[in-house]
Amino acid sequence: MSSLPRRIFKETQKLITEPPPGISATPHEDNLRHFKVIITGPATSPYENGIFNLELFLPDNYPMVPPKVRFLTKIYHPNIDRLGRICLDILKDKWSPALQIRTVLLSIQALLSSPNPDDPLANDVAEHWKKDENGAIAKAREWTQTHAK
Amino acid sequence: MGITASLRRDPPQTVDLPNNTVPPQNSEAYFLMFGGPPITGTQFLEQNVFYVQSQRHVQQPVIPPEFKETVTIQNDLNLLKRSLKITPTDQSKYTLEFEFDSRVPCDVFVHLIAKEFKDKSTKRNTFKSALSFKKKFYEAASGNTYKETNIDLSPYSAMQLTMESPESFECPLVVELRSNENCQITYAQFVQSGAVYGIKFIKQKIIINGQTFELADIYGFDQQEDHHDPSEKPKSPADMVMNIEDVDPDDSKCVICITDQADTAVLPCRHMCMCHGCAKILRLQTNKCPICRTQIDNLIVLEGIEPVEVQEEPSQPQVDKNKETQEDQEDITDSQGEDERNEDEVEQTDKKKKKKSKTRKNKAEEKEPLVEDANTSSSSITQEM
Repeated sequence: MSSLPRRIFKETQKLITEPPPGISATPHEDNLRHFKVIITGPATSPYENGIFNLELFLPDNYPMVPPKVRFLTKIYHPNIDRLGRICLDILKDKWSPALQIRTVLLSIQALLSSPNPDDPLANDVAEHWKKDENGAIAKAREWTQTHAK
Repeated sequence: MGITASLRRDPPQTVDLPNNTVPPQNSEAYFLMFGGPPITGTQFLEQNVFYVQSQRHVQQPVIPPEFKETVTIQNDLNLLKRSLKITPTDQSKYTLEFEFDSRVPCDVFVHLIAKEFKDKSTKRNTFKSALSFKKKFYEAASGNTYKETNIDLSPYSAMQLTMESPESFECPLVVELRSNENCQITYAQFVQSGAVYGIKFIKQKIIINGQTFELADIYGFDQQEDHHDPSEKPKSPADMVMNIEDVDPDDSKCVICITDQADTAVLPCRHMCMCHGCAKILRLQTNKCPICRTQIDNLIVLEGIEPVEVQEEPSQPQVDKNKETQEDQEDITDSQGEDERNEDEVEQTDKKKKKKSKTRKNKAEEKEPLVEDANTSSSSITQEM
């Protein structure tokens, strides 16, 4: 903890003073690399009005490696599995050190608006999405109401 | 031809290696250059030497992109490419105008439909052209203006005038600024807009002591300039929009640490987005540009950019001070030969190419070893030439 890189310090500061709309991220007091994140479900998506908790962790060699992010709130989404892991290219091979916590969280917010069943992580959900999109969306909405409060 | 010239012709072999090893026959020699004089261009690896050595035992997923030293070149002559314009007067007659800065007295030549030749004995570029204008003896001054009225374009076909191939074929418009030693050549073409012609910049190169450098902009520099140069008025509506918006002081910072001033550009994409400290770390981790993910061939550190002073108080922005220090920075550097052409690229920004290169060098000497290397190499050029 003694040497938190200035980048992380700056990012944290900016996240707190100018949070992106619908997103909040606050570091845990005992570990400043560990963030409690809340993303509100984007309007016109099945996750609308949902409050989703996530955790974000900055590994030691961040920003050379991407942050680790996962949903803590249950969510019915083809690219998010039941453990809350997220299938998003910038969290893997498309990571660039020019990206930041802010941009990652905005990307996750965007992923909620546009699920991509063709690159699934939760196969059953993706199948459902492809076979019966309306049914899947209804289920996602139902899950949001039940879990993302 | 100096050391750097040979470097350009023969890029370090490590760059092109298919696997991750360094040829052992060369690796011993890398150390020599710190002591004795450099021997050949391929051995002249400077900063990378120790990385290369230490990496030999480690399995590397990618070959780290090389740091190229930059060499400061004093450019005495510069045509401000954005000032280049033609205006129709009447009946296919045009007025050509541009501004240029010169630190030494110079001649100005304007050629229409010009083919370029390189005189091997004098190493001078000459032009055979359909029409030439020559204005003698401009005094050394910044903001010289050139104006040529009544240029008749009617004898030439639209094809000739709009051609865009300056090297191999006839270039529609060539402007040469020529002093005793140096020369800057600006290539442009005409573009038809309705019934009249406008002008479009193609490229610029400078020839210094027989060496040719192509000038190229670096992304990430203009911002600073807009920022620091309130006297420059934005010329297009798009520029104005840019300026109206609040410019984030972080924009010129390194995208990786968001703390230090970005001073390292990535080649070939020319994104100046990192400080040299972060670039050193980055190159061992990835070979992709942080901005565009293009594969990095080389990294170049631009000497002229003052590092942001590290402050204990993170909340105090250092912007104003930086503005001042950067105002006078020169931004030509030599990207030493990553291309096959015999020309070398010189990175530049639009406006300021020829102020204070001396100052800059002195400043640079106070700084990092990285920069000192660049000085070493530039001094070796001087010796050999």
